Amino acid sequence: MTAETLKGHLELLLLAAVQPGPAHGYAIAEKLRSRSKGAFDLPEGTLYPALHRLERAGHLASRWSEVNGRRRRVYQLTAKGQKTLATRHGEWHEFARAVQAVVGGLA
Amino acid sequence: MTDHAGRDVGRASGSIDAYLRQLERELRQGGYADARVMEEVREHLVDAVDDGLGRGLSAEDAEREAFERFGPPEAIAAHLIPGRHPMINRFVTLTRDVVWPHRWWVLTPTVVTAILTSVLSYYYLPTRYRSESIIEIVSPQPVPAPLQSPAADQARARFQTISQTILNRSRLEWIIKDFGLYGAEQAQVPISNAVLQMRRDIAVEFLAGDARTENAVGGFKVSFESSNPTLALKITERLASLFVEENLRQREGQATGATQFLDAEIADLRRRLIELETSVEELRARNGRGQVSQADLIPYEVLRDRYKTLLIRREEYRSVANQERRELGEQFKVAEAARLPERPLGPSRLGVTVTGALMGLGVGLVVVGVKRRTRAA
Repeated sequence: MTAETLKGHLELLLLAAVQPGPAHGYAIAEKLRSRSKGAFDLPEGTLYPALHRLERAGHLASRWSEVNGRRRRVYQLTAKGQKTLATRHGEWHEFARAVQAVVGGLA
Repeated sequence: MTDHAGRDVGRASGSIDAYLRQLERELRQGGYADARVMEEVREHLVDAVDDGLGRGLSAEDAEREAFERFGPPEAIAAHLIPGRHPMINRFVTLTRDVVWPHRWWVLTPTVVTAILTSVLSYYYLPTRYRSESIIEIVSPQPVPAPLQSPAADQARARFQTISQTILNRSRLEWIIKDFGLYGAEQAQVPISNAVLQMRRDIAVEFLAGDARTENAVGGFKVSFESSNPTLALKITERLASLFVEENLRQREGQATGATQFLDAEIADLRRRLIELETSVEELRARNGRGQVSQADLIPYEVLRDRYKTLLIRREEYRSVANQERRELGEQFKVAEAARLPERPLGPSRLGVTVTGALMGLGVGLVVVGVKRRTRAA
């Protein structure tokens, strides 16, 4: 899947990735890679501008967390982020179902 | 720190440092710097390399894979740099990273100097008011188009002569004493200083064109500035009337100058006439009742006729001169009377406060810059 295809859905993916609990950038990237089985061919560096954007918009909150002498920035969903995730998730389902209904019928 | 296999964990290798330097350079070109993102990238790469090593990759391969997955520095920089002009990015970065952490060092002098300048200016920079009056130089009859330019020149010359007279020292001293200006009354200020100060507060300006009165060939504006609006009005009124009076007086002076010659001759004739009259009277007395020779009377009559003629001529001349003065000379007319200034001229209180705040801001920024430099050194 190209970066272009992914772009519109990146925010949904990131919000979903931190839903289970706070995570740092590398963990989020790992999750995206392993869950998609490597389908998302996105430079991991581009996650950071997207994470920062979500934080500025109030969907995510972040703090430094120190474990074993390693300082990492950890992101977590805010209440607003929860709500946005739920809405986007619903929209995505709707969209995927509709696309499937059309494309599946043609196949 | 080492992991179970004895490898270094959580420490950036030389190539990670090189990658970070490259990324930083790319960001700086866009006027951007972000310490937090640099730290995040570093931790990310360290994690990625550790991960690769954990999967049994060689250090070299682990690093290559980490960089590949992360993306080339220039592409990542392009994502990170906000889409603005590098100068703006630089400004934002400096404000965020340098000024914001020291905001109290900047805000305190800004607020303090703003308050200080506004309080001090209240005492040392009183509010100024200006009242002005427009006087037009009016020709007695319509000026034909080809003569308009010379007429305007003449009007300007007249204005200049008269304003020199008005602004001379003794005239101003009068006004200063009349109104007790500049503390001259209390002898707080030497009168010569008061005169200089008054010249600064008076403004006279010739205005070409834009006449309101019919047949105006020019005009000028007189204004006076003071911290007291009523005083500004009164002095402006006084100055305007001085201009009008002085113009009249100077033209009258010209007319009287022309009759002075006649006056002298008439006085001389009158004296001789009285002398002759006395001698004729004496002759009469000596020769008895009414017996005076025609020969003695003729010179007296000649003189008397001449005296009469001169008196008539002088009268005619005077009335012509009067006529001329009234009708032919240019007149100064107040086209716009002085008014009580409603709004102060300045200084703008807001402007003073903002200037003070900016000075404080400047001082604060310099202090922060010096602090940063000394810490860097």
